[in-house]
Amino acid sequence: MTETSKDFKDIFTPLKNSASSYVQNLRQQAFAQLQNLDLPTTKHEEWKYTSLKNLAKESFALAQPTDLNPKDFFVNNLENFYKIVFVNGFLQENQTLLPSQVEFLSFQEAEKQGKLDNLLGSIAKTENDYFNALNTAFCDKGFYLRIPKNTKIDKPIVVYHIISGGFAFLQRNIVLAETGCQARIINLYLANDSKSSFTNEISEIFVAENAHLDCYKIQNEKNQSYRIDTTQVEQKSYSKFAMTTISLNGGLIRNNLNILIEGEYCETYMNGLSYVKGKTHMDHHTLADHRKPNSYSNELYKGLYDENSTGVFNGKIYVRQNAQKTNAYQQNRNVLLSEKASVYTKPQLEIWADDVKCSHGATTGKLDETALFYMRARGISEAEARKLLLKAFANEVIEKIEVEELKEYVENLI
Amino acid sequence: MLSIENLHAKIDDKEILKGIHLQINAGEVHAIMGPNGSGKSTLAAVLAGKEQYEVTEGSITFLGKNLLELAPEERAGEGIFLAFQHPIEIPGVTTTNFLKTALNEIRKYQGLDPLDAVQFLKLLKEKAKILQMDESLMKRSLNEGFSGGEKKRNEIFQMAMLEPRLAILDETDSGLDIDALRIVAEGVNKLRNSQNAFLIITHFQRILDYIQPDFVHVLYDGKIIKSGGKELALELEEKGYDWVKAEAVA
Repeated sequence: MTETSKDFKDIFTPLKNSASSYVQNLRQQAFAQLQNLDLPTTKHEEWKYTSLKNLAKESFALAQPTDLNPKDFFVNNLENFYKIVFVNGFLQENQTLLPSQVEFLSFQEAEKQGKLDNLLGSIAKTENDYFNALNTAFCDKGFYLRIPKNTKIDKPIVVYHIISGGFAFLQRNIVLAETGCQARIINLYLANDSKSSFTNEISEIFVAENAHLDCYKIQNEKNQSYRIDTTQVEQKSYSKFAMTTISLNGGLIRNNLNILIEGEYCETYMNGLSYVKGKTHMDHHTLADHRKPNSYSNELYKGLYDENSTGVFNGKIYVRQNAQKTNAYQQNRNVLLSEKASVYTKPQLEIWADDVKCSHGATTGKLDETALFYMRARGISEAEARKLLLKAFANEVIEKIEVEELKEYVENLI
Repeated sequence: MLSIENLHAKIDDKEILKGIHLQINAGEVHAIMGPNGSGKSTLAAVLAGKEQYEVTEGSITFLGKNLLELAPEERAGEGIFLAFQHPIEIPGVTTTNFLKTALNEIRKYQGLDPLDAVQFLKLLKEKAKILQMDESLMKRSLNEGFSGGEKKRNEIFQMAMLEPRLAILDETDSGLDIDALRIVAEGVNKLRNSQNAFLIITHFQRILDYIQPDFVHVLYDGKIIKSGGKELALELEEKGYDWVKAEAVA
């Protein structure tokens, strides 16, 4: 008997036959695999510190379109940028604002036109992965975005993900950053109310040779939202990919960020800042998988955990035998702001190559008492000193945000 | 200005200060010397309000107020400044931002309006000149990657910015080369006036060549065992502490 009995495969309705035989086969295969999979429990190595027990107790209805006005959620600071808007997984097509250079389609339209063939599911695998199989079998919402060869998108693209009401939904996105292109994508996760919701979102991002893609996630939902989020990236030679994840609110968030470095001389950056309180459970699983020589990856995840919150960090670096001259760095630093907060951190380096430079470090501690006293001895009140120290801690990650307007927005949230 | 009566203090059940009496008036410079472990830094920490130390007996009165009832930040507001023996590095907080916050919090405590950016920068430049501080250091994180000498000088620079009534220099001279020592001493001398006072805690007589003390005290085993004028420092430098200890026992 497993600790959870809930099965999302009973919630979602099977999809009609696809116009694409590729997608059709993929779905059938995922559906078949799903029959042998259960919602992962803490006995599962990858879910050891993240229990889905409470999620299993919730009951959700399938998400329906709502009449919520997404404009109420738009961030002033970011209003000059391009825009894609989802409410409960439904694309708000009338809100889409994109430059003419890009190709943008809803998931369903892309499926119909065969755009997903050979891409969908090609890097987000369904074997032995409950949520990937679930998403692949049942999801027909999300988007397809192609940034054509050698195109520079002049302004960031902001993707709003708004949830409203106690619903469950799936989302699937495909991003194709073609050779030599340059773009920035900002994902904002916001919630309208505190009702329990469940989202499983998977993004497959293909970064071609010489392409530069800079991505952000600002996770700021409500304390009853469950989010299982997987971002699967494939990088080709001379490409640069950066993901900065700022997590501020949510009930249970699991982020899987897996980067397959399939090219030489790639640069990969993974930055994370979690500042959570209440009972938020924040789980970051990351992977930098170096499969070719001469690439560089750098990861910095910092966490501030207050009240009863829990943090999990599991950062893997694989350096395959073939990936000589790899430089890979990883740091995880956590501060516990309350006696009741806790963090589980597990850096994992697996190196098969012999000529590499790799390092990792993890620390968890309290706010520096000697620094607090030093500041107080200069006349700064304890509350103000704490604020300064927290900001200083967070700033190391915030400074890496290359979009000024976004940096300002995030600074104001903290 | 400062009156310490029969001060006893302990940390982790170990008594360090065993009955200190000290009277400091405005306009005076006092030096406290003593061998390692005599309680010099404990006295500095207790005056600044470090919570790990427990005062078990005695009193400290500063400008008519019971200092022991005040939090560290309130003491700073009243005009107490401690130049730390080991200044702390605070990554992510620039010296400028730190000082602006400190100065305006103290001004708030004293019922004064905060300085705006222009006024603050003017003051910063003025004081940086006195301490010959490289202004590029101010934009960096507080003390991060600073050399030992730069950190000590930064302490005195902060003192110059905050203009305390009583400045306690806890072994500020340790680790300074002669040039840096001279700059620090000149800074102190420029700030010295009839309204403020200095308590200089040191191992070495050297700093007192540059800052002339009015009184020199010898701290030994948690008590002041001898007090005198500046010539006492020279005598200690020459003869060591043993004769004072012997005199105290006798």
